[in-house]
Amino acid sequence: MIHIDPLEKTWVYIVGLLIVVMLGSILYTAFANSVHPPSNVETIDSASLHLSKEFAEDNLGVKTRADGSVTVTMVAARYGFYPQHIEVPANTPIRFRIASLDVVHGLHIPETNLATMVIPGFVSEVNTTIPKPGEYPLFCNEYCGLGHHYMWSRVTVTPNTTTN
Amino acid sequence: MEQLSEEEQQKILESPPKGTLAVILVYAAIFIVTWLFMYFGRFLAHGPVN
Repeated sequence: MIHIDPLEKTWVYIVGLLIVVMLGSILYTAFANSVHPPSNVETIDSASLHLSKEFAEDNLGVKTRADGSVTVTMVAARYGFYPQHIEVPANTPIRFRIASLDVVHGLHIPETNLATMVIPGFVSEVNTTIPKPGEYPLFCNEYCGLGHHYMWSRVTVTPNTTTN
Repeated sequence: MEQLSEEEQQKILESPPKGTLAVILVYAAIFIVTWLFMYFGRFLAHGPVN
């Protein structure tokens, strides 16, 4: 029979409880609210983005879908995001679709949950909602060359005026 | 410890480590409250993501 000290046993119970609470919270929100890492796998020819329908220059930007949600189509290229300024409504489902024209980039909006890599040859897709209106920077968080620190854009989140 | 009688020393050695247990409980409480705040108060408050 293995002897376990009562204090060790207490510690084991506490650690077990911590794991159950943390994993339980993550699993609950993953299944109930569909909160999980972006998992879209979609290939694209990065060398001919300008010839593609979706990522051609004229088609970039913010589009509102029939259900009121928003799709943002962007291109990341050394050293900027195009379009350089977007305006989206707060508390509205937003689908970001981004493709890289050249090398690996990252996309991050601080104070939101939007953070993804943008890998040439693939379309990065992230669905999120930004609850707080305001001005946000959108910047590259993957080192992409000498001008990496200049690579940023602006996002204006406007108050949602539609009533649900 | 040297000033204590044999009986008192034995009593201390055999008594449960209440101080250690208190430290564990305080640590666990701080850890779980901080984690819950970061997950629900910060991460999920920034909007769902997938």
